[in-house]
Amino acid sequence: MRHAMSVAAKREWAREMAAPFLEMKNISKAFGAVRALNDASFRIDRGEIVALLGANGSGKSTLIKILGGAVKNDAGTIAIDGKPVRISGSDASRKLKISVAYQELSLLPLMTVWENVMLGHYIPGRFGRIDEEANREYVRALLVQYDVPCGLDDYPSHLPPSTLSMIEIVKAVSWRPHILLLDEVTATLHHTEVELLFNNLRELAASGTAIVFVTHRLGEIYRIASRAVVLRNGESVADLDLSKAEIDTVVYHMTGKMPEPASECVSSGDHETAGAVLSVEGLSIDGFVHNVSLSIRKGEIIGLGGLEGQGQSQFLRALYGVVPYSSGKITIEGKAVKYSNPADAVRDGIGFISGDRNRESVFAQRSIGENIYSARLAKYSNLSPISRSRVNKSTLRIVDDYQIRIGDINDPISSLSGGNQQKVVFGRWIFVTPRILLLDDPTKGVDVTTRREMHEFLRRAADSGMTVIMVSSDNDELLDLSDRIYVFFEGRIHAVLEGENKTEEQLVSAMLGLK
Amino acid sequence: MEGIKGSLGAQLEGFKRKPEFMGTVLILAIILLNILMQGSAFFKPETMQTLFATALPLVILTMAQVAVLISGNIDLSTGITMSFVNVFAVMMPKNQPWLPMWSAYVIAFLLAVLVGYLNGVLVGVFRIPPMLSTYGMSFIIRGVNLLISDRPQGNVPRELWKVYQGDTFGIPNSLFLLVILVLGWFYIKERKATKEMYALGGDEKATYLTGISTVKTTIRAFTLSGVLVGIAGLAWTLMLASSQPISGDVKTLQSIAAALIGGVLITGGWGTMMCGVLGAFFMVLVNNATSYMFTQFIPSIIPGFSVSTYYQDFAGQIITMLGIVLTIAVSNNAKRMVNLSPAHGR
Repeated sequence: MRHAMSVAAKREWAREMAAPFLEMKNISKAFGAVRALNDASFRIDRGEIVALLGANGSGKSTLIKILGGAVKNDAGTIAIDGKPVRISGSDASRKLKISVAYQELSLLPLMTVWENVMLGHYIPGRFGRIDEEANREYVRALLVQYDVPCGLDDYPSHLPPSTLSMIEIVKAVSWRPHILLLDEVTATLHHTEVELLFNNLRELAASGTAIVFVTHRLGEIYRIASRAVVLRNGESVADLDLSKAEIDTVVYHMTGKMPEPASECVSSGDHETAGAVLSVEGLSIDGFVHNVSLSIRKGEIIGLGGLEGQGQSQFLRALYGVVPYSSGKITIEGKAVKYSNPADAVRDGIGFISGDRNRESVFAQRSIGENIYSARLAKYSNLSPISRSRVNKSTLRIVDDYQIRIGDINDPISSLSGGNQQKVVFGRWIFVTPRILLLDDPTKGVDVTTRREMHEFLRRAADSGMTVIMVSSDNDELLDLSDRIYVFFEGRIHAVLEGENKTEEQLVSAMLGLK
Repeated sequence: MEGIKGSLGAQLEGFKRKPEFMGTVLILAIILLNILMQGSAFFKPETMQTLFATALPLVILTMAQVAVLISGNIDLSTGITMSFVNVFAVMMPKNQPWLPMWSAYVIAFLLAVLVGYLNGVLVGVFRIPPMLSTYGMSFIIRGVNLLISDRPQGNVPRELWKVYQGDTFGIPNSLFLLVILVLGWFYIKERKATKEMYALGGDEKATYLTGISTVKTTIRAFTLSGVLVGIAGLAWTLMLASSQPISGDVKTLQSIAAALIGGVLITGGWGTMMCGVLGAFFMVLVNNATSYMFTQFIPSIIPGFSVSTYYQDFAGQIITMLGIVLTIAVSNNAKRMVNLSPAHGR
């Protein structure tokens, strides 16, 4: 595994020490109108372990993807050993000896573990065939070294998330990279597994590998990294020596706020369940959510906060019958429910607005009227007549009420701007007046004015007795709108913020899992 | 003793997880049905010879289809390209007397490879969905076929097709060709490029992120398919012993069905060429069995029995459909396990 270094190579290495091993300068990247990275810079030396930190949407994943060749930067330069390089694709990245373990995993479900790990760089044997024995031996040694509990011939579909993360790491390491990028790989790992991983990473670093480590567990960075680069809104705002910087300083650079410990860290079991519209007891979803309980009264607006991927989205979808849960009880107005699909939930008076318009809510080619009317369909029988005039007449009222700027009600929804499309989706659900409205990051990528209008809709809806549960990655939105905020961290409710505890400082520290 | 039994049991369990499992079960069942009706006559050299010689074009065509299916694509132009090889090889020496016959066969084969390559470029480089690009390609080739030979005509030298349709020591010569192709598959199966084709069929994004060129892999899969279509076209020519411009087109969908029966997943990333071979032979043997059943077996029990041959097709298609349902049920089971993986959700 180690790179044996000759004297000459060492001298060469020392000479190159002057320039950083990898340097990224003034990197910018925009996805449409969204600026993911804006003039960000990053550097790392051989043998160094650097933590790359940032809140939601700060651009750290984009930076990793640029290095991995999954995304191309619009502007800026990348240099390795002082020589400028161009990373035109993921194969170019591998040739530069960069490898990545992705948070969303790059494993193939229909290939065995050893085939997955060695994919793209199988050890050849005689006649250009793959030397299966040599490959297996190589992978077996890595699996032992990283203590991954799986067999060489297992298929990923049969393995738990933590094992898959370990395999993803082993897959990246198997390339013997000079630069190893780890994107939130510890999210699903247990503490003992993390400890072993860290020992292995330290060994890799000692042999000269540069390791970039992205994590949301701030406690970890002090144990593994010597330096932390912090991104905020796509800009690199700080480069901190971790032997000097306190955790509060790190959080300050990530969020622009000094953290304050959440003074109330109670489980919501304390809240009165009497008169609750919705109460959830001990809900668990394998690999995502562990034993979450909460109860919500009529007309409340509840915020579910947290960093991305802490289980809040899965929790919301479990309430809506999309994601099956392994244990727990959901009670709505005193009646125990278990929806196996969203149609049941809608018939029972539950609505769902997703911020991911294109994938989860808009029927792009259908008219604005039909888009608004669609949620009603679940309530009718299959043979109910629905004429165009009836659709248009009833939906025009919604358009007027909510001041959605449209051309004609028969125009396709794709003729509208993103913000107006989202308003149509809001209208769709207000139209059916659900008892409980679930929202997943409803104002993602929406302009400020529209956002304010949407918040207004939600307040009006809540005042008229609708119960609103909203996942949001936007702290201002959570703080402005919610009566109470449940902060998720690693699949558990880490804090409940209410009343005077509902401050940005406390929210920030709870999101990062600080006590 | 128990140890041996245990390892046998484990091997059986292992085989159940292999893609060839359902294909093997089905082929054994249909062979059994044939033996039950025909007895030892089924194994007569003439029967075997005819069986292999007529089955082989479809079998090779199915192997060609498997090559693209495992990479997550589909090719609707294979059948008509097979006919193109046939038409070109038979008619070109006739229309262009300066062209020696052997070179017409070689050029026909190379042109089939080129068609496969072009399909790969259309899908890989220009990102045209394979269903569309290869369907379009099939119409272009159909046009070329009809330009060269507007009706079935021509002939193949007797000494050539006699070799293909003959046997050596009671073993059909066409079987040797199949053995060579299967050995060829085992030769390329354990190679980097082949594994990358499987990876591409399994998940394009993950494959790209692993540092593999998805464009090159797509082109490779279609080119491999083109090579096999070329060989299928030559076998088809020797079987027909004449030029038939469009009769191969129906074989495209048959070969896709055969691949699916054999255990190849239409969504990609799963199955081997052996699956294709098993599936194609299953389809041929079903026809064989039903035709024997209606023309000889039932009349021998009920004297004077005689029905339209459409009933044969009817019975044959029902058996084929049952085969597809069985295999898909088994692979759906595998897919459900895949869906349990945590990759779903956000």
